[in-house]
Amino acid sequence: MTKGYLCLVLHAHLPYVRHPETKAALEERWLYEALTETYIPLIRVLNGLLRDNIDFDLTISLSPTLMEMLKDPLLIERYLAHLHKSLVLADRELDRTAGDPHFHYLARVYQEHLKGIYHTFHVTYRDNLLQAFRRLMASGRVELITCSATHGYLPLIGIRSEAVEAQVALAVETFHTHIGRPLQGMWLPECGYYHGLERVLAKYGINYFFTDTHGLLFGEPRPRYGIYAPIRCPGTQVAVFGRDVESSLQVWSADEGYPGDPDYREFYRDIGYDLEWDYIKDFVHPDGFRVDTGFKYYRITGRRTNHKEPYQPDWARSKAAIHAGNFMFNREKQIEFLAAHMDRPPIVVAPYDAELFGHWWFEGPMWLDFLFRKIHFDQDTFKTITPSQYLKKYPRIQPSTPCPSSWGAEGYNDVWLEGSNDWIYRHLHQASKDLAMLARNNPNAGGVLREALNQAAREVLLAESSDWAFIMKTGTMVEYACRRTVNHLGRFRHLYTSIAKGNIHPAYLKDVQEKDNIFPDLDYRIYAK
Amino acid sequence: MSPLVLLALAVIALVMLFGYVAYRVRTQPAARKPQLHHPPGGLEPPYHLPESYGENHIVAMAKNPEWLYAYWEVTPTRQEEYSRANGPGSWEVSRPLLRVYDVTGREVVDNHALITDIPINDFAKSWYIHVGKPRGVFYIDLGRMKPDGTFITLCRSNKVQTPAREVSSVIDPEWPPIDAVWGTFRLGTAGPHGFKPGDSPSSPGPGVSSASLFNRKE
Repeated sequence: MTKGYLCLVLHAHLPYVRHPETKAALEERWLYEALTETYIPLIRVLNGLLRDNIDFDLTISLSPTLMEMLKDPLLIERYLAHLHKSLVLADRELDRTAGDPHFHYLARVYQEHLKGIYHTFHVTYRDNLLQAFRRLMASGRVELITCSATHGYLPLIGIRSEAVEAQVALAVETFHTHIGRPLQGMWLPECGYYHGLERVLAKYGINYFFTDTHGLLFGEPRPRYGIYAPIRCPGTQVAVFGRDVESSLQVWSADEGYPGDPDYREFYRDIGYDLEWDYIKDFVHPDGFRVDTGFKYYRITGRRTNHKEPYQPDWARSKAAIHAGNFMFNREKQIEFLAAHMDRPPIVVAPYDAELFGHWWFEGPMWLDFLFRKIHFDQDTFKTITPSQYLKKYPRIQPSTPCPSSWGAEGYNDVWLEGSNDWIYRHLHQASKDLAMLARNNPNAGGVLREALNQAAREVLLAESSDWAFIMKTGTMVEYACRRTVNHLGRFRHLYTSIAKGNIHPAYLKDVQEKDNIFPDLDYRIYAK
Repeated sequence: MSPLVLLALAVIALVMLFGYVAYRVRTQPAARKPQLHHPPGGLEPPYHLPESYGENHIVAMAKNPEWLYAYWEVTPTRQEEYSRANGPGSWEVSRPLLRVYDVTGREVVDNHALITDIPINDFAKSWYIHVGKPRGVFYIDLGRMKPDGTFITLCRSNKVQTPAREVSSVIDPEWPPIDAVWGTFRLGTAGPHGFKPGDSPSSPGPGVSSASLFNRKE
C-alpha cells in the first residue's frame, strides 16, 4: 500500500555562455561537458525507463538560459565539433593503451559512451535536445518546469519589482516557446525566496515553487507537517514545497554522501592534465593550457590519498545499485514513520542540481536509473510523484508564509551579498529602474528604437544571472564573472544613453545583438508592467 | 683531456641543458593560466561602470537574520542644498551617520521606533549593519549629525525585513503541528544531526550550489 511519496527534482542550469567573438571560449565548454556528461545521459536513462514501462515520476527544471543555448545554431555546431574531437581522441586512446588491457578496456568504454551520446544527440534528436525533453513531458512521467529568465537571484534583485516581474514573465514565455505548454511550477534560483514573491508568481499562473528546508520550517504559522506537506502562501493559491534534509545529505554530504565512494570515478584525474603535452595538446585548449577531456581512468580509491587505482566500471555499477537500494530503503523507513503520525500521505522532496549527476558524480545517472527501477519493482511503501500530481490529489493545504531563505551556505543571502560581489547591486538596481523608465516612456516603439530597447533589456537580464555573484564569491574564474557583469551593464548604459539622446548607432546595435542573441522574441515592455 | 676540451664539453653540456629546459618550458604549458578575459572587441568601447548615477537614495537589503547591507548616493546638489539650509560650512562640520529605525510590529517610522546610530565616514558608499534581530523590520536614514546633536535626514531607505532564524511560535489552531513529525528535525540540537539552516549541502562543495561546472580544483 502506498503510504507516501518521493518527489525528485533536478534543476538543470548554465548561464548563457555563448562567445561568437572567439573561437574557443573556455566557458562554452561548461555547456559541452554538461551535455555529454549530464543532459544526454539523463535523457538516455529516462528513455530507457519509458521503454521498459517503469512507473516513475520526475520533475526537471530547465533554466531559460539553458533552453536558449540548446537551440542556438552556433553552439550546436560547436558542440558537434567538440564531440567529433572527443571521438578522435577516443580512437587515439585505443591505440595508446593497446599494450595495457585494463586501460584499453576503459578507453573502449569511453568510446562506446561517446558514440552513444553522439547518436542520441545527432541521429535520434537531430541536434535538438529540447525535442527530447518535450517527448519526456508528453509521456506524462516527467514534469518540466523552469526558473527565472536568466537565473536572477530574486531576493536581491527584488528591490526593483520590475526586475523580478520581467524575470518571471520572460521565463513563462520562454518555457511556452520551447516546451509548448503552460508553466505549472517555478524553480527559484538557489531556492531564493523573499516575502511577496508569491504575488508575482501568482500573477503569471504559477502554482508552486520550492524552498530550502527552513523556508517551510520557519514559516508562519508553524506548518503542521513540517516539510512533509506543502504550504500555501496566504492570499494566493501558490503552494510551497520544502527540501528534505535527510535525502539531501545522503546524496551530497562530504562525509556521508554516496558520490565520495572509493569505487566511483575520480573527477580530478583527467588525461587532459595527466598525459604528455605533445600527445594531448590538440585536445585541450588551443591557447595552450590544459583542460578536462572527460577521459578519466581512475577511481576515487580513498578520500585522503593521492594514490589512485584504475577505475573498475563493474564495481562502480554495483555500488550505484547498492546506493540506490540504500536510498530507497531509507525513504521507505522515513515514509513509514511519517505516515504513521500524519493524517495524509507525506511527500519527501529531494531536489538536486542536475549537473552534479554525471559531471561530478559520473555514476549519478546510473544511480537514478537503478533507483527508479527498484522503487517500481522492489517495494510498495511509496511512489514517486510530481508537485502538480500531489496538488491535484491533495488540494487542501495549510496557509502559511514561508521564511525568506536560500539553499546557499548559511541558508540566506550571504553567498550573493558579501565583500566580493556586493558592488554589483547598485548597478543592477539602477539598470532595472532606468530600463523601466525607458519602457514606460516608449510604450509603442518601432524600428531601430524598438530593437535597441529589446537589446537593452537583454543586457540587463544577462547581467542579473546569479552565477556571476556566485563565481565572484567562490574565487575561481572571477575575472570572467566580473567582465560579464561589466560588459552587460556597459552595453546597457551605452544603449540607454543613445536611446535617451535619440542617436542609436545601428552598427553598434547589430554588433551587440549578435553577441547577446538570447530571447529573440523578447519584448522590452515586460519592464513596463 | 686538455682543460680546453673539458671547457668545450662543459659549454656544450650547458647549451644542451638550456635547450632542453627551454623546450620543456615551451611545451609544458600546464602552469599557464587560462586567459579568461574576453574584451568586447568589435565596435564596442571598453566599458566602465559609472561612479554615480545622480540619485539621492539609500537602498537597504537583508543579508541574513542578523545583518543588513545598505548602499547609497548623495548628489553634490543635495549637499549644496544642505549647506544653504544649514549655513556655510555646515556640511563640513557635521558628521555622516546611518540611523537605523527598528519598526518591528509597527512598520512605520514614528516616535516609538528604536533607534541605533552608526557613525560612518564621508568616503563610504555602503555599509554592513549588524541589527541582530531576526524577523525584524527596519528603515535606515542616511543623514548628518550637526555639532549641536541635531540629526538631519538626507534620504530614507526602503523597508527591509530580516528573515527568521527559528521556528515560529504562531500556531494555527486548525493546523496544530504534529510533535512526532517535528521531532525528526531535532531543532536546536547541536552536532551533525540537528537541523541548522544552510547545513545540508546542495552540492559536494562546502554548502555551495551550481558550483560543479565552474570550479576545478588545481
